[in-house]
Formats: sequence, structure tokens, C-alpha cells
Amino acid sequence: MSPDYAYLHSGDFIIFALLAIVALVSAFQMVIVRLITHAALFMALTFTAVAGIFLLMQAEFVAAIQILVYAGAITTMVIFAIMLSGLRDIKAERSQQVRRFGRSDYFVFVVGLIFAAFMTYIYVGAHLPLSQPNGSMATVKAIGTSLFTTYVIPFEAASLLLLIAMVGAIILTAKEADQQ
Amino acid sequence: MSLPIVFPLGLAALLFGIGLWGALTRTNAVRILMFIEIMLNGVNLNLMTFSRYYWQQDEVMASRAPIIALFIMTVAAAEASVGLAIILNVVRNRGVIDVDKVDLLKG
Amino acid sequence: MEFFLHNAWVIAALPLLTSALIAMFARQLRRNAWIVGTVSMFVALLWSVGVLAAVISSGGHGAEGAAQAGEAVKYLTTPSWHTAPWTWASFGPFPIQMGLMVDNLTAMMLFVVTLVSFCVQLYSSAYFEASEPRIPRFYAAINLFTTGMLGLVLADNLFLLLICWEIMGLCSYLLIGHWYEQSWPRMGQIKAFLTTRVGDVGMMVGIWVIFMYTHTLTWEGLAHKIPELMSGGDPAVVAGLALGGILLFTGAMGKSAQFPLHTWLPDAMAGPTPGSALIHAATMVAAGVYLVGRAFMVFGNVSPGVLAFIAFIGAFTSIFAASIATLRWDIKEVLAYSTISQLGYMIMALGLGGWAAGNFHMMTHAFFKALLFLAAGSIIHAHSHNQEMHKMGGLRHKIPVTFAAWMIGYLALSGFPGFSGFFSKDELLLAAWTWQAPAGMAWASKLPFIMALATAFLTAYYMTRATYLAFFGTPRDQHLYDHAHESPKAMTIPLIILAVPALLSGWLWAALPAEWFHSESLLFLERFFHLPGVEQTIPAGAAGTVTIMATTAGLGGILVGWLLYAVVKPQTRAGWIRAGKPIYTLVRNKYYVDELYDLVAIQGTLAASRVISWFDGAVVDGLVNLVGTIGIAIAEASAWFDSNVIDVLVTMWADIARAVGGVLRRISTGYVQQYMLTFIVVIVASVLLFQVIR
Repeated sequence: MSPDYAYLHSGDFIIFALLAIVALVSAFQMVIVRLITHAALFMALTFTAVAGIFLLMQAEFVAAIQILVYAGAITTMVIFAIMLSGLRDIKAERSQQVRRFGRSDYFVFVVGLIFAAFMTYIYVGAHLPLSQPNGSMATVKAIGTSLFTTYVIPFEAASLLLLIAMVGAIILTAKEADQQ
Repeated sequence: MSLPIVFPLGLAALLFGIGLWGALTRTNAVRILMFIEIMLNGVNLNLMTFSRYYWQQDEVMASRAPIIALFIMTVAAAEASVGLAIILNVVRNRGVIDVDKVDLLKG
Repeated sequence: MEFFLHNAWVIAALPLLTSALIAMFARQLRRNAWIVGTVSMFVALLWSVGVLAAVISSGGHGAEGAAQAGEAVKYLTTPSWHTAPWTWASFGPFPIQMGLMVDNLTAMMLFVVTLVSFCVQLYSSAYFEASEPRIPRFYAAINLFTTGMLGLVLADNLFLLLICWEIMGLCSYLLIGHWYEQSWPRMGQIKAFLTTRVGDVGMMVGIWVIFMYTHTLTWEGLAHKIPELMSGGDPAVVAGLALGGILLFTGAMGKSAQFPLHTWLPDAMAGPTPGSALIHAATMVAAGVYLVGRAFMVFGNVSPGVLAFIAFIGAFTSIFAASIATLRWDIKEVLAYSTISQLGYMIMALGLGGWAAGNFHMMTHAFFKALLFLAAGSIIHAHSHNQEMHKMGGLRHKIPVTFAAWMIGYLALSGFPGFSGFFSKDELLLAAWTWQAPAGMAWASKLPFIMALATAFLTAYYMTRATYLAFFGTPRDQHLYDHAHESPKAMTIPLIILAVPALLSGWLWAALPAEWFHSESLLFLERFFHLPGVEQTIPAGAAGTVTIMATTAGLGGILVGWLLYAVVKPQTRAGWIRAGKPIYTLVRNKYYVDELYDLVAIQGTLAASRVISWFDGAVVDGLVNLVGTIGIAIAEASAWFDSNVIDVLVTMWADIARAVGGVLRRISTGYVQQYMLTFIVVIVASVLLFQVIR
């Protein structure tokens, strides 16, 4: 590691720090908040913060997709599911969880922390590039080009997967159909 | 730009860890699904970080990361839709959303 | 013409597209699915006529094509059209290449398949009852099946052939189980799928064995590589290739219902009759024959025992199935066993080196067997869906068109002079007559011929029997007879279309008439189906001798059948049956092959478990009891030791077992999250451990 702490004053770092704090705090809130609708909204906030970090890394396209798919589609879908299942008012039952064998809140929290710390330890120890270079990353054009040339078969497979998922979701949830 | 790589990587690991924590301790099925999405997001962030920082060393390899990230998002969307459909079905058929009460695997 | 040839892939692509369209718009099409299917198949038929014309007009491969190429590789045909190879996957330096090609055999098969498929689809438009709910499903499966078959004949390598082969297996499954509400179709479809699967697994392993040695799967590569490997003379390679050849042939055995994998075909008759006509009579089951013919560079080049094996399997199957067919009462079942028998014929001919003859019979058989099946469907349709010949009789007055079509098919199958089957059967028998068994088996040289001749007799006999029972005599069930009616035009027109080639296609290779009339054009197919490297030396006069014997056998069979059923009184017949009771029972029960499988596969498993159970009871329990007795003896000998040591030990073990069980039981909580947590902890711990060790 460079002993140079000049980056602490750069705008990038400040923006990153803000976004990271937002992401982490809202993710944490997701866990501890009692109302599930609130958790869903915190999830959207986390996704938006991560999208901001993608923007910081000049991955505009991925950031846009992140907003559309995660913060938009998936959040909406989760909220719809909550509304449809009529479970809006179910709150986290905290009392039960502690007595469950090996799955107390704190134990798992520690496992998650160990995991994160361990990964960070590995990153610190590894010979990674210190800072990112200037210049732009993959442009939308480049992504599009490779998506429709090199990766066209995975792309089509992904579209097929989405289609199948859609059909499957409809079949699973459409209870009117089999009543007829 | 001089942000050390450890920061975004650490953020990704923390997101993954929090997601793990939530996914393992909450019993509401919808909430578990949400935490799985958070974990996937952490993975995506990790991927994009490496892509960004290795851009100069190996542009061909690094340019694959956004593509993989896009596929992860696609699969995540598919997974979320089918998962929520299954959860809705469980709620309809058994009247519970608590995964601990769905324990047919119990030995 | 060239245009059709160079776009021959369209023929296979059209049915695929149609199948997808019908499947997608099933709700909109409903009963009208036949329009889409028939129109598209008609286009494919015209296209394949164009391909056939282009191949014929360009002279095809044959002797001329090979001569132009300079050197004729043994057992390799020169395609008239061949796509550039496309690498599907690479295994290290060895790519699996895929491509399409058209040679003479392919062109002929394209025509046959599209013609039969067209007739069947037209026929089906009227066959189903108004209440039939799954017509689009039927059409989608038929079209997908046609794609598989066309792709199979267009394939220029074993791998694409295998893929198309499996597509056909799937469609066969779907069509047999078309009426899956009833149990017979459901059992039949599973039986067909599993039985052919036995062959297919062998075939896949065979393909891999061959690939292991040759590193190529294209026909061209195989034809070059296998003789090279064989001339290397390494005994391991020779044995390996022979094994590969035999395994590859098991695929053909499964698909073409050769003994001992023939049991599925009669049960496949549970499907709708038009589907049976297309799949289980005319085309799919011929795929195995086609494989043997197409992969002749494998079978012909590896040790000669393989070809002899193929020939004997075919010859045995043919006489075996023909004898079963003589005692069947279900009209479709008679035809099913007849199909098995005729497929055995073709396989035998190919194994004997009669390449052209085998393929010739495959072509004529496709025409007349499809005709017979569709005619049988028409009878069944007319007869209020009754398939039992017990209840038929005298139908010729009621359904004259079907009767005429059936008669043409019947005479062709029986080998009546002048009909297509007569000529192709003649060529088969000639190939059998001139065959020389490999060294050490010289005594067996005439065996296939004898079997084939007996089959010819039996074939004529059982077909006469079926014809007599269905069409002649007096009605046995007056009620059904009174309600019998001729089928609608959509069903009779395909019969008429198919009757033409069933009647005439034999004249494309009519050896004796060609001699009499000094007409070269009557030998057209002999040259058309010529395979370089297959040379048949026919002794002078052999053709005449064989023809006389074959005709005698055929006419004799017809005569015997006629005498037995038209002249002899039923009471006398019953008396004879009583006299030959054991044989009658054996044949009537299909030689107990199904029962044998039941015995070996199902009862065998049960017996094995009984043995194990006995072992458990007698030996293991005995040992345990022995230990117990010793324990008692020791206890009696030393009460103090018993109560203070043994008891403690025993309870300790029990306690340990209970404690372990209690702990282990808790692991299996049924909470998915619990499992996930364990999973994560183990991963993190093991990575940490790995980190520490490093």
C-alpha cells in the first residue's frame, strides 16, 4: 500500500464514501427494519447507491441497467408480491430467532463480517493495481457490439431464459386459468 | 482518479456479507429474496471494480465484465420473478410466508 | 433444378418451421392444422422432387461420379451437394464438424419421406374424430418428426445423425402416447422410449469409441480413416473398431426393432394409425436401416464378423417376426410384425453386402407399408374403430377404394410378380444367394437365404390370411358390417397416391424384364444406388433361379393362406391348432420375449432382492444371534462381569448412538436457511484453512 493518503482529499473519494455509507446503512436497515415494505424501499436505495458507484467507475450502461432492472423492475415486483400476498403488515418476529440452533442474529452477523473482513484481507494482501487509470471504460457501443457479435448466443439464451421465467411465473400465479 | 481498489472491493464484500446475514436470519421469504438480490449486487460491484482497475493491463479480458454483469442482472430478474411466483403460491396454498414453517425437508 | 439442389436444407427447415407455427398457433388452428401441415409438406415434396431431378440429371455420384473424382474411396458416395463444414465443437485438436449433403440415397430418401409425410398429413385431416382435442399437437409432432428424418438423411456426419435420431425418438414417444388418457398408449410410449434408449445408449458409446480411434465423425473422414487404421493392424485398434461397429449397430437394432429389441414396435401401434404409418412403418424405423447403409464405411471396413453379425440378426429377426405375424388377430399388429420382419430383411441384405438391394427394398417398403397402414387405418375408421380381424370380413363390398389400395399393398408385400415388392425382394434374395460367409463360417453361407426364403413364404401367408379375414368371406359381426362405410376423399386420395409407387416403383430395377426387353432403363436404380467398393458377382443364371424360387415361395404362401382360410372349415383349422398346440402357444405368445424381459428385468430384480433378504435373515441375523448367544454364555458364566461391564458398555453404545442420532437429527432441521448457513460456514472455514496451510 502506498503510504500516500492524498486520495483522501479527492472528489472521487468523497463521493464514493458518501455512496458507500448510503449503501451500507440502507442494507443494514433492510435487515433490522420491521416493516417489509420499508425493507423493499431500502433495497431500492441500496441499488441506487451501487448504481452511483458504477457511474463513478464510468460504467454508465451498467449503471443505467442497474437502475432500470434492480431499482425499477425488481423493487416494483417485490412490492407487488408483498401487496398481492397481503402480508404488508407482517413484522419481523425477532424473539423467535435467537433460540434457533446456530442461527442467532449475532452468530450469522459475525459470519458475514468474517467473510467481508477475510475478503478485504485477501484484497489488501494481493498485488492489485493501486488506483484506476484515466480514460474511459467500455462504451455502450463496445458493449452493444460484443453483445450482438461474440456473445450473441448467450444473449439469445438469456432472452429465452427470461421468456421461460415469464411463462413460468404466469403459470405459477395465474390461478384463474385452471379454475375455468 | 486515485481511489484505492480496496475500497470498492471492501464495499462489495460488505454488501455481500450483509446480504448473507439477512438471507440467513430473516424468515420472511420475500425478504430473503431481497437479500439474495443484494448479494448478487455485491458480486456485480466486485466484477465491475476489477474490470475498471484492470482496464489498462488487459482490455480484452476486462471488457467482458460488463457483459457478465448484464447477464447476472438478467438471471437475477428471472430468478426474482419465478421466486416471487413460487412464494405467492406457497402463501396461497399454505397461508404462510415464513420459511421456517415450510419444513417438509425436516428429518 | 440446381437451385433446388443447392438449397436442399429448405426441405428439412420447412417442416421445422411448420411444426413451430402449429405449436404456437395451436389454439387458433385447432382442426385446421392440417392445412398448414399439408401445404408446407407439399412444398417440401416439390422441392425434393427438384432435388431428385437435379441429382438424376447431373448423373449423381454412382460409378461416373467416382470416376470423375479420380479415385473411388471404398464405401464412400460422392455427394452431389455438400455444405462447407461447420465446426460444432472442438475436442482439443479434433473438431466435430457438421454439414449437410445430398447424394443419390439422400435424394431418394428425401422424396420418399416427404411423399409419405404429405400423404399421411392429408389423410389425417379426415382420420380424427370431431371430438379429438389434440390435433395441433399431432401435426406439430408429425412435422417435427419429418424434420428429424430429413435432417438425418441430409446429415454428413454421425453426430448430426444422432441428434436427428433423438428428435425422432421424442416424436415417436409423443405420437404413441397421443391418447395418453388410456393406459395402453401410455405404457406403449414408455416401452418404446426405453427400449430404443437401450439401443441409443449403445449407439452413443459406439460413436464415442469410433471417435476415439478416428478423431472424425464425417462420412468422408470415416471412409478414409478406418481402412487406414485397419491396415495398421494393431489388434487393439481392430478390436476397438469392431466393438464400435457393433455398438453403433445396437442403435440401429433399437430403432429398427431388430431382435432382441423388437418388442416396442407392436406396442407402438397404440398411437393414431396415420402416425404409425409414417413413423412405425415407413420412415423412422427405416432410420436404423439407413444408418447401417450410410455408415457402411464403418461396418464394411471393420472386421467381416461385424457384417455377418448384422446379417444374421436381420435374417433371424425377419423369420422370427414373420412367424409371430401369422397368428396375430389385431390388423395393426400383423402389420407391425410384418414391418419388423421386412426391416430384418433390409438389414440382412445390407449385412450381406447387398447395399443397393437393401436400400431398394427400404424405398419400396416405405411405399407399400405406408399404403397398407393407411388402408388399415381406413378399415379401422370404416369399422367403428375396431381393429380385431375376428370381427371383420366381407368388407370388400363396403369399402372398394380401400380394398383396391390394400390389395396393391398386399400383393407388393407378398412379392406377387410385377408389384414393387416382388423386384426388391428378388434383389434381396439374390444378395443372400450369392453371399459368401467369412472364413470359418462357410457352412453358414446359404443360411440367410434359407431364412429369407422361408420369410417370403410366411409373409405371403400371413398377408393372405389378413386380407381374407378382413375383406373376404362372410361378415363375422353383422352389426359392425352394416355400419361400415367408405372413408372420405381426404383419406382415399393419399391411398391412391401411394398405390402408384407401391405398384410401379419396382420397375426401376427389374433385372429379369431388363434382360428380356434389353432395356437399360429398367436397371436405373441398380446404378443409382451403386456404392463404390461393393461388388457383387452374380453367377450366370442365378438371377433366374432365385426369381423362380422366390416367386414359388410367394405364390405358395398365398395359396396356402387361401386354402387354409377360404377352403378349409374353421372347425378343421381348430383341430389342427389343437394338434400343434405347443408351437401354436409359443408363437401366439410372441415366443415369450416380453415375458422373458419381465422375467429378467423385473422378476430378476425381485429374485435378487429375495436372495439378499434370505442372506440377511439367515446369515447376518444368524451372526447377530451367535454374538447374542455368546454374550448370554459369557453372562451366565460370569454374572458379575455381565452386570458391571457388559451392561455398562451396551448402554454406553446405545447412549452414544442416541446422542449422535440426536445431534445428527438436529442438522436435518428442514430449514433451508440452516443448510445455507452450514454451507457458507464450511466454505469460509475451508478457505481460511487453505489460507493458513499455504
